Amino acid sequence: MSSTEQGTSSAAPAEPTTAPESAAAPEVPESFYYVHGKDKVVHKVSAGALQHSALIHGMISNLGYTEEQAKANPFPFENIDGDILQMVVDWCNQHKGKPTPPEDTNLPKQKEKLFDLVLAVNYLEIKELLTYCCKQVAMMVKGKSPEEIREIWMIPTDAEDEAAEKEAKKRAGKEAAGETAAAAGDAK
Amino acid sequence: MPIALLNFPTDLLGDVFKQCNPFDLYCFSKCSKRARSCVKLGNTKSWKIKNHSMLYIAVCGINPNYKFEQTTDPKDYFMRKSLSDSEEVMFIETGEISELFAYLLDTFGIRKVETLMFCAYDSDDFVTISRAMIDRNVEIEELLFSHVDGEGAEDLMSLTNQMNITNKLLCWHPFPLHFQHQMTQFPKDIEFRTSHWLTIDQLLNCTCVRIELYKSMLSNQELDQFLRKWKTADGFPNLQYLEIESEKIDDKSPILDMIPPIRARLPGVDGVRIMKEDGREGLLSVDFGNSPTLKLVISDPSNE
Repeated sequence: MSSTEQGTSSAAPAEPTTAPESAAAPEVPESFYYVHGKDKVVHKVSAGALQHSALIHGMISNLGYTEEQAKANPFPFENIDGDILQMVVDWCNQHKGKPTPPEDTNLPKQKEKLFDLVLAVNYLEIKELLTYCCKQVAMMVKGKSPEEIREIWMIPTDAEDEAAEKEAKKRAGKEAAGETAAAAGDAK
Repeated sequence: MPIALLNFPTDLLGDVFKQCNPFDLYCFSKCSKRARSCVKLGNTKSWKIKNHSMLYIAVCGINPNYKFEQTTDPKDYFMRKSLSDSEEVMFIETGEISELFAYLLDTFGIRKVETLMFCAYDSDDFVTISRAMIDRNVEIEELLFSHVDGEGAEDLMSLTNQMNITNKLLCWHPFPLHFQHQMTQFPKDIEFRTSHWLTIDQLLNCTCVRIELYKSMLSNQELDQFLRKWKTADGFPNLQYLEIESEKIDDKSPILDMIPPIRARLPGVDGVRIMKEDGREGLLSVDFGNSPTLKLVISDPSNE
């Protein structure tokens, strides 16, 4: 969704829901910001769409960037894969200025990306999308037996958990011993 | 496509579990000890639990109710059915019902029982279940029991003093004549189908809103004592309904200066109007119909 399209639709005289006052008010040009993920591909997103993200909204609310400044200073989200960020940006654009319906059919369907998507959405604090993603994760095990849930949600068995704990303890012990030895060396 | 759920941060796990129903979380809890320990993140502590004898245990306080029923057929384990808009059922492996109670209470962190109902089955089970409630300081809104086997009812009555019963204690069990019990705490409502053991001293300390005693042994003099206390400004401030059936009620001695039967003079009125010192009114009647019964209905100031 481009800024031109957005501006045109909000100023269109045929809009039945537009109040006369707002139609008469001078059109405020929409501001845009730029974000990129791990892949450094920059996405142009309107401030309206970014309002869904509490994190980004908080970052941009007092910036007052010009278009050039915004372009020169894209927000880096190095912890988010490029394709995941693209999904999030698409969703924010699709839901710009609209409340999210309880059953959101616009969410990407790729289950293999769901884990990364949930983490990204959680990090970017997009509450409505997060609720929907969590619902998707919960739906994965609806009506399943414990054995099926163990597979779908990759739950380790008690024995695997115990082994991992032992291993972690062993590793921590080794690291502590290494630090003690290094400290002793420094003292000498 | 699998997803490593336990790698989620804790707050996210909670967000996912909040979207799961009790059956899904029960099955998840069976995956491992670590899985079981996270279930409470889904705000499950606000749920309630109820049972219907040995037939089922249900998680309630949410809509629909989720009933856990036991089955001996392994083919049916974890099979689910929708019984109606307000009830779903899942079949699980047969085991001690007291263990299932404890498992659900601990896994979901539930601290409130909507209804605890015992009837005609091995007393060991409900004594064990009752002890589990006491140990966990679980609030029991309603406890109902009837015709339990052997000495179980007597054991259970002695446990009621340690149980945190808040709304209703309803006992239809026919206690033997030698049975004795001292109640040390009262829920809002009590109903005892055999109450010969409940003495006037206990009744004078009762804080209930509604009292129904059948097969009582209270006499006219004792009921007169109770009602004179009720008439004082601070006597039984919660009481709204009293019904006592007793073979000892007779037409020889007065109750509040009236010899039974005590009936309204006007047709269509349920009793004689009596008044407390604080101005509240009650309608008192004593009849000898099928069995001698005293009734007192007190006007509710909140409805005035």
